[in-house]
Amino acid sequence: MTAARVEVDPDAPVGTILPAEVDGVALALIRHALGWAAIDRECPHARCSLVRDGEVVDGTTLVCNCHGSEFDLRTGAVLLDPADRPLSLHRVHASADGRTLLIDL
Amino acid sequence: MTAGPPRATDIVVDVPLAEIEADPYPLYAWMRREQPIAWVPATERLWLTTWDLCAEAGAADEIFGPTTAVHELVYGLPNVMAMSGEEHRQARAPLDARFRPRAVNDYVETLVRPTAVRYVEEVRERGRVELTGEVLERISSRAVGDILGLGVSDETLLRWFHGLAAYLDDLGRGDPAIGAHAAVIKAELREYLTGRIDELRGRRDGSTLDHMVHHGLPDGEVRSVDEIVGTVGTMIVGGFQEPAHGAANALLGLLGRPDQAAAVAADPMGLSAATVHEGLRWIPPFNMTEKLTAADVVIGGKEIPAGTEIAMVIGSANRDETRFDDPDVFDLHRERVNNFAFGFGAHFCVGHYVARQVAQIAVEEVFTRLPGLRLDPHREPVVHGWMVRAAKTLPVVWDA
Repeated sequence: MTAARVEVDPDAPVGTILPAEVDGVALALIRHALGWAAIDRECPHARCSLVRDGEVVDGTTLVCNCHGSEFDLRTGAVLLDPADRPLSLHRVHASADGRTLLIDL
Repeated sequence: MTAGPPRATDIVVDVPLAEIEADPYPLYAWMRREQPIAWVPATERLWLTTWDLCAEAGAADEIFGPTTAVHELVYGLPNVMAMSGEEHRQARAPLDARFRPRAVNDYVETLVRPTAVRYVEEVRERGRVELTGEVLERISSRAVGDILGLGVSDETLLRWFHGLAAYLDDLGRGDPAIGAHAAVIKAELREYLTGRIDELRGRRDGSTLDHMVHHGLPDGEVRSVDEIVGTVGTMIVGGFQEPAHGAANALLGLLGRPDQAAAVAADPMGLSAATVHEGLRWIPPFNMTEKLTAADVVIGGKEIPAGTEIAMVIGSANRDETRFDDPDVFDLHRERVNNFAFGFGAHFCVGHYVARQVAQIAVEEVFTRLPGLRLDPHREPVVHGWMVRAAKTLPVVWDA
């Protein structure tokens, strides 16, 4: 397994969603109430971009505004269909100062 | 030449419109079992009635594409609902700005809840009311009117809503009086919007209308009234109807089950979301959505020719027994899975989140402020409609 290093703003507010290209993998980096999540950028339902259509609500829930699917950003689990597959969640280690994320690909 | 699959349009289910409008659910159940795809002449559309058929067609919106006729008639063209591809994305984007979940969460408590409180308080001492018209439609039209940026009186908002929505109630009949009245409303809306575009030129206010007028244009440029009036009409009908009638249908179902109503009365904030979600499944206010086939297609073993007017019968799919146990029963405690109340694909309702929030707040305030809320034992609710279906009246009583 390879890991990639991404610099982020440690003060990014909850709800921040950033695109990242890491080793050719299109990711969305999402700041939620408990930290950062790194996920494949496309919604597992209809491949809408979660950078464009994703929104964090209630701290740790990601809504895909395209068709209303909801996911738990801590586990990737589907909270509400139409999505029938979980988010592809990559393991994230944040540095002590919060400026660097080490993301497993 | 080999025989192809049978043509769906040759299968005819001939039921009078009045019967469908009175109660389509027995027909839906029969069709799901016996003829899930059939031409229903009274509605001039080919119906798709099961969950699986609607899911399959809904995921194929390049074939089951937008129709134009109904949107031209009801609201006028150009209209976001009649567009495809890039043109549709461009028209949808400015609507999205104020309807995204986080934007909605930022304003509902200040822009929506006070409106709900005001209208419930207005009736609180009376002990009985017709809830749909006197409370829910007033909350919804004012709250969504404010979000859209329609700075006209409550009475005007309601008049616009009813004048345009009457078309949908009347679909399949074409009553000229309804058309004539709606034409007057559309002219009035057009004149109002012409003035608003002038106001918004150089003085932006962040409303949906503001976004529609300016989105994607260089600073200082605005759209013409002709470019936005049809879509604004769609926002008025869809936007005002879904929260009001979604809440009305949810309350009709819930109050029909006093045990579950008592649970919501004890915890309105905790159970409002489940109430609205189940209400939208049980009787979705948009009971069907219309499509037009862009090519010949085979679905469910039947061939549908290109150019066929389709009704994706959401009301039926939402009661498909292969997806929902005891589908005719309103049940607050159903497992939280989605339904088709907000439509499909690229045209999935842009207001799905805000509509639910407005309806939930209405349910919360009604239960918080009207103790012992129950159906009026002496007055029957009027539940009516096919394309759009709702508790058009919902007489209730409480302990004032």
